Amino acid sequence: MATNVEETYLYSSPTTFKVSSKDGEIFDIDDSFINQSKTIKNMLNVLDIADNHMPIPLQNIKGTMLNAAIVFCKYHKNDLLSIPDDEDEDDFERDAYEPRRSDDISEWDKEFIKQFTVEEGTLFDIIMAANYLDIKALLAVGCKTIANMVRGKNSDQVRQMFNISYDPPGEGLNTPRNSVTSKESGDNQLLTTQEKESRCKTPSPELMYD
Amino acid sequence: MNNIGQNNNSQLHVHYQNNPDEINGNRRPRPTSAQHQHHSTTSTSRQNGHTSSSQLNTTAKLEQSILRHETDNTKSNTSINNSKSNTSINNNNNNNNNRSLNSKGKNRLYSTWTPLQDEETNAKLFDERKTLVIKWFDKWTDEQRRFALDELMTQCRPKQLTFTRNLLTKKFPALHQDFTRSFPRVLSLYIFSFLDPRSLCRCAQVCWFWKFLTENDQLWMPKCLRFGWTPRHTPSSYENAVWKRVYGSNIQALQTMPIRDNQLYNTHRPQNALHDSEYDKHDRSNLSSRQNTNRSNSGRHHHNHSMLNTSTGSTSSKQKNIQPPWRANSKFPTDTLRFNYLDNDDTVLETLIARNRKYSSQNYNTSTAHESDHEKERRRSRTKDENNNSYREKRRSQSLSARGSPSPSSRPYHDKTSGEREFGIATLTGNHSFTIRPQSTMANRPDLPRPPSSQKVKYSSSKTFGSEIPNRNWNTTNDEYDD
Repeated sequence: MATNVEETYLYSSPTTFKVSSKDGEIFDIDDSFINQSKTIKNMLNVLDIADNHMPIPLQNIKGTMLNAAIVFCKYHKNDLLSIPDDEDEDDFERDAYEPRRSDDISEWDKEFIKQFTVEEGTLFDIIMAANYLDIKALLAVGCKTIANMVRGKNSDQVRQMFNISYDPPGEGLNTPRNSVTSKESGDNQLLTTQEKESRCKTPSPELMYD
Repeated sequence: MNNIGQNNNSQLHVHYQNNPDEINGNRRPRPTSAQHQHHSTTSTSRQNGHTSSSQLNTTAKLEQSILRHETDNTKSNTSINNSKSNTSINNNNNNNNNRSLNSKGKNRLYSTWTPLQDEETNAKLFDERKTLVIKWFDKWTDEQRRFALDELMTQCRPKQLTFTRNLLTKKFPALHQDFTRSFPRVLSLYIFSFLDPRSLCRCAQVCWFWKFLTENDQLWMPKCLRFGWTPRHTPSSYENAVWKRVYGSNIQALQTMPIRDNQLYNTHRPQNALHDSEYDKHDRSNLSSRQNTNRSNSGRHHHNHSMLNTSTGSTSSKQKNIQPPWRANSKFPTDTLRFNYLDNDDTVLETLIARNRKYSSQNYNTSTAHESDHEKERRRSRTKDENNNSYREKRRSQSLSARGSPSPSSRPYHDKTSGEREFGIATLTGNHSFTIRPQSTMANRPDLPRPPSSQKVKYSSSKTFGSEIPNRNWNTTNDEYDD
């Protein structure tokens, strides 16, 4: 909490601020990040933070994700103006209902997004971070990547990719109540035992999450 | 760790004693004499006696130690091996470490599963049994392993279950998590908005939540409105997947019908289709035949099939009403540039139509052949279609005006400017002008000429010098938009 009176900058001046992530890492952010992240921009506008030494806590973002976002913003600091605004209603040349393209990710972005994977959940983390920081370009890149993954896959592959549990009708949890008989498969055995228990007693709250 | 291990052992014991037939698939022949031994340590060691003699040695020494545990206090053992690895089994000849028992241990001296409270001996015993279990586990088939794990899980306390869950999450950290559960709905919809209809339908098969998300009207409405498809009725707020159904039914109708009968009244094709001249021709001929049908059908009957003009009545009457080309409707209909009929008074409209008929019959001589031909066709198509199609027009103008594309102007019908009547000719000669995209901008600009009203056609035949100036004006502006 060192307060230096002489360091009262407006945020628009080329200065750096410090942000701290969830796990306590502290990063320096500069103009490129502030201009692209509307959350930070608004925060600096509203809060009028003049203290350069106290890091802004960003409790929702892991340090690695914040670092990646800063790298992304540094690379994209120049093409800020070329991002089309979705809320632009005055553009009559634009087809309002044109389907959104998801194959227009630039090469650098492709390489950038490759370090995040679905398997470890980091791709979702970076999207959540971009959503929280309100970085439109990063959010678009992440979402397009996920959309490209989903496209062209059938439902089984999608389920496998995102580990979505699904019981087809009549099986598993969707087994009709009156036909709980001894099924030899191991998975069904477990579920039927659960069902037996839940029918004997009042349903326990843990079953609600299954 | 010890607690869990003992649990495992007891579990194994129960399993083994209660239903010994469950492990039928064990490939190793099991001596039946060992089944009902009281000490299952000895039984287990006898079972595997031929594989490891050192284990038998350990258990024998353990039994000995049980018997003479009180007198063995003085026995010293220098090689203390605390590690729970296999070395303890290999070296356990020297490792029989018997310490003094506390009082608690004395009480439980002859218990089956905790014969000694001596920590190191117990650890060794546990180790031995654990390796036995693991050895057995290795030999089991997949089904047996699952069964054993299932039994183990049912024996576990909740604390141990949470421990295993933590182990699992450490091993598979947030594996393949479903983003729709962790993201806010806006983000999920944003992701789905990048997908094409086919992928969306596949996603709807994934699970119920994905179905709920991908059938969202917000996703399907732009896809429908892009082609000008709207639902036939106003959906109630409790209906879901309205726009998806609209899209599906339209696509289905498009694909099942031959192109001749493709009576898509919707002139609002996708923009890229305009490049296909053949498709264009087809569409225009369809349009003209469609107008024939409209004439024969009542307006009420017509708007019953609002999306596609295919009913049995319409097809039969269509074939009856096909006209020779010199009598048929215009192949290049100009009435696609429409007015907003909602703004018109019906009586005014009717008088205009009547007057238009009268004047058009008079003006055939004076106008040039090309112009009169087009005008005649245009007038006919308009006057006849206006009544029938007014309801449909209404619908389309509503649906289209939302998107800021060729929506009809909201100007009154009988708005007289000198440019308007020239505009009619301009659109007639430049056939493709109805495809101009930004017509709403045109309609909003007061300096631009208005679309033709049918009343003013009579002026167009008798051109004066003064009326040619706005004509030139219009052509220049029109060229701007065409480019």
